[in-house]
Amino acid sequence: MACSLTKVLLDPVCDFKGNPGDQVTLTLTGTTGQVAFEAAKYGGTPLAGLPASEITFTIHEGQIPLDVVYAFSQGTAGRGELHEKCTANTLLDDWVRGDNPVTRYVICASNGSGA
Amino acid sequence: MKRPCVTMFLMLLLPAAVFGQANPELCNVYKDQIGAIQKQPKGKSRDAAISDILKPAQHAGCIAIVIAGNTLQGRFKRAFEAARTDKQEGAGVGAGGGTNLISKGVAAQALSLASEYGALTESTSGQVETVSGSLDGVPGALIRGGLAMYCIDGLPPVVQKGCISKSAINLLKRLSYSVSFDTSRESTTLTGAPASPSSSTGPTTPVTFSPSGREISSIGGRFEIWNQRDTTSADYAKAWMTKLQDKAAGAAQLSAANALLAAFETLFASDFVQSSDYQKWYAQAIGALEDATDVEAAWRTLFAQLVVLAKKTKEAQTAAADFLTALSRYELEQDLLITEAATKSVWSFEYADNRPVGQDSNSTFRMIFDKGIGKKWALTANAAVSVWDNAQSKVSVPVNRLRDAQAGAEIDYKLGKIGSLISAATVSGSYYFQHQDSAILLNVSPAQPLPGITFSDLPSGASSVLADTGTIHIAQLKLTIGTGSNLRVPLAISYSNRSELVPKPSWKAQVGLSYDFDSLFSK
Repeated sequence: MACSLTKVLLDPVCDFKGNPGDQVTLTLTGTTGQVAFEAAKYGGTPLAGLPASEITFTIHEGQIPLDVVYAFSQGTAGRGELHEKCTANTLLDDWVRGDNPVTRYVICASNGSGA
Repeated sequence: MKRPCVTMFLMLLLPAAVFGQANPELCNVYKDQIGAIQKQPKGKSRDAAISDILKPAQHAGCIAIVIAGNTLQGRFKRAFEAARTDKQEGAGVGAGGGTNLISKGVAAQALSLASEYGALTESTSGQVETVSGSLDGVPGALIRGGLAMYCIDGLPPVVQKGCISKSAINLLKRLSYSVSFDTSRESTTLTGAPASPSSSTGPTTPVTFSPSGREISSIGGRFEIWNQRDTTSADYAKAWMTKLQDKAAGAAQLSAANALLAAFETLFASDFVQSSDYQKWYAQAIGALEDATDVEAAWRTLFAQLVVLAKKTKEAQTAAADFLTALSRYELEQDLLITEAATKSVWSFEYADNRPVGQDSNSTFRMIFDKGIGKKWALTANAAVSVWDNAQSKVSVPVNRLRDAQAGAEIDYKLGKIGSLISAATVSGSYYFQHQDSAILLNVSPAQPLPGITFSDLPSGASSVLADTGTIHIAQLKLTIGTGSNLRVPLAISYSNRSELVPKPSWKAQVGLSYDFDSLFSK
């Protein structure tokens, strides 16, 4: 599966860039205990099938927030990484932490430029 | 006994004071991210680490605790109860009327009302309703209702004074209580000898139990002395994920997560990062951190500026306090689910004050051993002694203060899911032994007959009857089925060589019904 998302550094708004219409699957790797997606909303719409160890959604055009609440098998001591499930297993966030269980990633996508 | 309880309750009610101070410490995430930046040489090589620290919505708790300030103090309103499933519902041994031969080591966390039919150790049968819970249900309810704060890990403790800690919850969780109500005391036919023999032997006279009128049949408390906690094994990880995804077991955490997400969206409106003030701050922050010799000092300045920007609206403080309340509840539910998946009670001590109808009250002291064996088996064993609370009244012959000694064991085997309706089934085999050391004195009253209770060969003036001493053996086979919505139906068949009151062997079948009300209050 080809990768869709790339991490963006030092952008005040965007965290990842991708292509509108691409379907992406995000997975979690627990580095201390296990991590799961407890609840998530993409563009304000709740993602179905949670809690789960991965989420799948289609990228929309614009600067769209992905809000996530993580669950940790070791509570606030839990640590993990967010990856895109694709051939390169792109690391998107290595600060997934039990003492910071809710976070927002803004995914920016526009037609034409791919970013 | 009452005073310590009241004092503890008042301590829990103390407001989670001083959330937010003038110059708060940094949260743990910021401290670690500052360390990651500081490790890099000055300049562009720091950019990846700088990128991680700058987004406010990726450090929600760190920002909210500062924005909220003291407004949290006014937020604590009302509450109610918690969730758990792997606990004993129904009457414990000795309460009578239950289908439980063996006491389990864990009790319901909140209100757990079990209504069960059939008696095992007494010859009367009736409906016994048991209300049980563990003491952590009280602070849990306060936290869920926003009356108190659960200490949020990772945020500075100095700004969380008065919060209820994880260790306090864990301690209270070890203490549980139960009260059994005998709401329907059915009659039965008994045969006995008068305690005060009369010289005259008349015709058989119906003599009845004299019910005490007390509907509380047992009051008990339990302390978990020792438990096993495993949060690292593969079995635990699997059990945790199963509970997390279970509609009933994971409901409280999921509900808390959805509330947290809603509070998060309110606190961090997406237009904040589009504002020119924020974007200007962001650009300045990159330069400041790239060039900083003391990254922590630089970040403290930048963070103070960011908080001023985020705090501009009047609603920001309210939204921040709402968010922290939701985060506090989420962490509580997460810890409770972890505890449920990771902690197994091993040794417990139980005290019960039993008030059987027609008898003097007695106290039971019981040690409980509870251990899982592999994935599907579990062993529970009990040993107990009962003593009369007072020297038995109306007896002309000496009666020992020691009422009886008991021992029992139960082995459970999890059958798992059966079909689409039954989500969990367990088959159990139990053996129970009781040595009746002293004769039980029954208070009878011809003036207040109970339907169906008949004594034969007793003089008309007899007001008390002594039941036989001896040994009781009971064996039971039980199938417990659950529907996945906290409804459990135990079906049991048992054989006993005699009961406490009737010296005859008997076969009995019991059907119970229990519902865990915790799930109703966790939504």
